[in-house]
Amino acid sequence: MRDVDAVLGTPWHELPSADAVVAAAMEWHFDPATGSRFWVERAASLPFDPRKDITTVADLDRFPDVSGEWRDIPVEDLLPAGLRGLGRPPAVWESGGTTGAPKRTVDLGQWARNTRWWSDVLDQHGFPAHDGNLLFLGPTGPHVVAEALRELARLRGAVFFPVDFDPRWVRRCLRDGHTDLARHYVDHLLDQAERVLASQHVSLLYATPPLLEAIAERPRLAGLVRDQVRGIMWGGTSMDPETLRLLSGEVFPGAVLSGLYGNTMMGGAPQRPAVPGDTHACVFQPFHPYVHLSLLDPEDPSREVAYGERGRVCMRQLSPEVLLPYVLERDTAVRVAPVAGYSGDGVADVRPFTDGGAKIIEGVY
Amino acid sequence: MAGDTAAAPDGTGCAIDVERATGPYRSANRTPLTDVTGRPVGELSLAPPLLIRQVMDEMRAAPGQAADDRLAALARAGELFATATLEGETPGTYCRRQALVSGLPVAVARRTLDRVARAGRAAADSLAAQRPSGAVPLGDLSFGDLAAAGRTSAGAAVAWVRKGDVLGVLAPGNHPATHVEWLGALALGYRVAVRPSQRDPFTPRRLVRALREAGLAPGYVALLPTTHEHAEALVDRADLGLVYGGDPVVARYAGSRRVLAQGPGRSKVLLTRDVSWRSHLDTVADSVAADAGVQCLNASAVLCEDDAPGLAHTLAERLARLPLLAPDHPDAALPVRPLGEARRLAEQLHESVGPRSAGAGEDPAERFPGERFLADLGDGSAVLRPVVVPLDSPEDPRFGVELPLPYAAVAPWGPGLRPAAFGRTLALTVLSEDADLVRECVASPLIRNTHWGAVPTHWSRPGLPHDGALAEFLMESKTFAGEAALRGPVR
Repeated sequence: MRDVDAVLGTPWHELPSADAVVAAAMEWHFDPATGSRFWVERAASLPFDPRKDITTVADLDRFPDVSGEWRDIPVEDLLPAGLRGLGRPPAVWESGGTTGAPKRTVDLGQWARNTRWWSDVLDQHGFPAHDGNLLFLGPTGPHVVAEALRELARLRGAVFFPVDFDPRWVRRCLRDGHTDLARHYVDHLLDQAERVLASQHVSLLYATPPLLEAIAERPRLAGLVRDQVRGIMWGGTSMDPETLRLLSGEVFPGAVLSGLYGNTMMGGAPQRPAVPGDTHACVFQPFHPYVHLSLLDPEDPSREVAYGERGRVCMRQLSPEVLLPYVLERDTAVRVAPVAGYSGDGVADVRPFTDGGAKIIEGVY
Repeated sequence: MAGDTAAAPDGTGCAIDVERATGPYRSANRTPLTDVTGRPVGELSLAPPLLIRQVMDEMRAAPGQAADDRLAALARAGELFATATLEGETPGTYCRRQALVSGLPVAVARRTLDRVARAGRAAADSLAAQRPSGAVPLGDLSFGDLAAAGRTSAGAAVAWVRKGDVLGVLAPGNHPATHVEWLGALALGYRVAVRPSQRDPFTPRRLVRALREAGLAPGYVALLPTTHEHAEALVDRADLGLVYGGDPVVARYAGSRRVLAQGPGRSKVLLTRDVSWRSHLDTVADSVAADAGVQCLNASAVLCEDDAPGLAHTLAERLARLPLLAPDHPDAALPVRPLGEARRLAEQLHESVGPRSAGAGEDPAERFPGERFLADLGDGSAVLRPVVVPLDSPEDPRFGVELPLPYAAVAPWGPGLRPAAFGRTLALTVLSEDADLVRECVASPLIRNTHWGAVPTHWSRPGLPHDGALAEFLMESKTFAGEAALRGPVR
């Protein structure tokens, strides 16, 4: 068996080049000895030879977007042969299902690697570590985010207090016009959060933007957060710049806020600390070079937009367990040039993509 | 504030910020503000729901102000609105900005200056006029001498009190004078949060500035521009809401006791056989086309007993003489819209009105359907021409249509029709000698305001109800009884 960790699994501080990761991923995923049944069989129908013809990140554009097929394919077909027999079963995570039936991916450590790096980024933001516990308001179940936050709590010496919620149910309520029901459910979540905050030493909070807004609406709960929480992570839905400014400047001025952009298919892209000259309050960095976010011209997806321009997000993941060379995401964002300490482009001002079709219901998550 | 310092020399460049109790606040969410030619003239701050709720909570928590001080501030604010330079904006600059972005003739904003001044002066009187005669304002209740707890005898009174503290207003953009309505709510002691229309953020901003300058306590008024999607958050957070819109908006709030929806006016003129329409053409034309025909009080239908086709033809000729000018021209009289929007409207008119309307000349070689309904100004905008549609009967579906331009459907009237045939009507001008008919119109639940004789439909005066009195929605009567009531005469 090849040593997959040599390139695809190296720790963050010994980064290979992006193109080296591309070449290693092609070898790994298309070699019948190590690749998944899905990709090895797919190779036969591709009009190019991935192991010979795909050598750079830009070459990945030649792949079709296969992520839709991952809504119903058996997960055994997705697991690379090289990762079988490691003595532990792969975890399987599902996407939120915002744009249809959920997609599934397998995970044998990529999320944990991603989270270790995320924790480093939180250190740079000045988030507390080994000083207080973590309250998580988000989905468990088939969604990966709770697993990542549980790992993050472990890394930062925090007890993990999850309050579970089902984002698919909330979206269904909103879609069917049951806004009262959705509001009632949010109250139910906040009641649980209040009990944890009132009795435990909580310094870290993870919540979605709609829940942070809902917390701001409840004076006692907002006071409990203001009294203890020093670091707030938000993610799951987009947040407009003014709401972000109000939450950090007026509602929770004593806490550091840091967003996380991402999903089951792309992993987590945390907000990097601001640098002089930033025109966006919040810039997200993907887990480079294992995940790339390209911003494509919505009118002409073969063209990447210039820095400072808005484009549709195209995600590429090249991990030992997942090869997703080209996935058009539901969002648009502004492309931001790399800064010192971070490899690869950043993205800012993420918004749901609309092409005039059905409205995307982000819901509470 | 900051936006005005960056204003262009022609006075159009400016930013519209959120106005909260602490002053102007620039949102991190902004959208370009364009005039009718599509030229960017500044930026509009957009308040997300969290900001809307924060600002409205601030309003609730802010200190109150005595009624007398408030009414004095309203009167001063009216004068300041009409005459003062507010944060660098002269009345002339305001009128020009309002005209160029809304597309309304600049004369409309000029007349609004005076209307706001009069409304401010009249606020105290209007307040008294709207109160039930047996009721006492909260501030007048006496607690020292319970026997005189009010104007009623024997220790009991009817108290006249607000149903809530905060009114949310989703303002329309069709006419600047509609903002006079919420001044009445301030007079009653409501705190008023206004979401301006993107077509006219200038009028409510100038009003807010004038009110602040005049000494109204800061928590009483806020300007919260926001997207269509988030406007509902403003009404949700308020105790009561005042919203303007088309039939779907009215239908949506029809069952609500908390939200008053003001919809299309469908105002009308009725001429019976005993008067000559020729001698009342001025009143009819004025009712249809005054202020560019965009008000709910402008007539959109005319019923004429004697020679309706003749009236339609003559009215069309009269209105066709209105000049086709850019909105900032002093003689402008018709609405101007961005060319694309004007074309869409013209195409809809072509579909509904049909190939020819009364008084129209020969059809030119039209480049797109309905081209005759507009005049391209060549700068990205177009004037909407007046439209008169002769109908055989008020049963025609085009009777009762209301459009943002001088539009009149003219149908024959017969005594057998009676007011029940009018459909809902905000203002009706009756030109008739038939006093029974006029009385029937005043009494009809379908007709809100009746004008008798040569009083155009759009005529109004501060203190008179527009679509009912706003106080009927904002206030209620409650019993207040002191122990002295027990000793009073038993009935």
